[in-house]
Amino acid sequence: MADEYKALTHINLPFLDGNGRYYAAGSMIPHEAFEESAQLAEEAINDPDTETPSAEDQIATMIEWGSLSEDPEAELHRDHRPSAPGTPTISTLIEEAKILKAQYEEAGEEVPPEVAALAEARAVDASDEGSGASA
Amino acid sequence: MKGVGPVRNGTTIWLCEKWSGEACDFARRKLDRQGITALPGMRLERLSLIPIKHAISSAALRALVGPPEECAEIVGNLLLNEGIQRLEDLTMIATVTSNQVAGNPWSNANAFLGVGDSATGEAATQTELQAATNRFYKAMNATYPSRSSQTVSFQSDYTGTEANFAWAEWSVAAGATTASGAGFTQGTTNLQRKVASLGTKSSGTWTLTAQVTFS
Repeated sequence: MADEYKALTHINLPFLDGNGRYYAAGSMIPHEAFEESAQLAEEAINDPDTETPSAEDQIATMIEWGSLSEDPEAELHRDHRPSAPGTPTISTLIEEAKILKAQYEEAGEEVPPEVAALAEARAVDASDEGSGASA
Repeated sequence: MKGVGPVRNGTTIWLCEKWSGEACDFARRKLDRQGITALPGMRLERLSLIPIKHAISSAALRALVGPPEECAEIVGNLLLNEGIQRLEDLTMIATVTSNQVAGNPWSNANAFLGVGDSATGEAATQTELQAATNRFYKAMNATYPSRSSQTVSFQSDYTGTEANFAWAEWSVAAGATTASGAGFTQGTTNLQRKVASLGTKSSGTWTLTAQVTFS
């Protein structure tokens, strides 16, 4: 258990300050904030059939899913790292392959198989990344 | 490097209107006396005729009973990365047509309001409500989502036995899977997530409205 944790993404701890306390990616979150949030959640929900997650459970889940780290030098989640403008993406490579393929076909030349394969690939988008509970 | 501070500028006002089981019974008796045994309502992804013994919609309750007995308003949410990325794909990526398909937007047929009972903190990398089992996504009421100026409103009814648990988290999803009753238990792409307490639903009709404003 650390005294504080680095937020690797944007995190809002519910019930603190009334309506949640926001921590930007890269900021440090004290352990007590998780404890207080969990305690306030239990009081607010106040339902004997609902098990509110403990601070330790929440921290463990967030660390497991790359949202939080005990290491203050840890890199931010890849969604929050700055990307250089013009950096090629899978999508742009596919679009370029499509143009290349069309050029080969127009010239009556055989399309190299690696170009054809890339041109027919589907772009990897956010929804391909996974589903189910994560934190 | 100095610059503009981090901003997550999608503000949502969440409105939860609650009609009790008694109010639903009152409306049911009124309808029954007029020989009306079923009303239009959302079942899974389509508008269907739902027997009044199973569900009374908020539209019927407004007309027959009046305003909700209780109304809760909660402001705020954390936009999730997957939701922001979907917005960007749909509106700004001119060449990637594979993302600009009918199944991707938060449209009437494809938007779902999900509620769950987990109070786990909000993290932008989350891709689902965090409740282990008590999660329920319901299709949009007719005419929703709608837009006025920069505000888009989403609304769903949770009737009778639907989502009867503590409402501690909620979200607007584009797409939902794993059918359960008249709704689903998994949201595909969640725009945001909000954790607070709206109370415990055990019967009646609760209507959740999300008013999302980008500024």
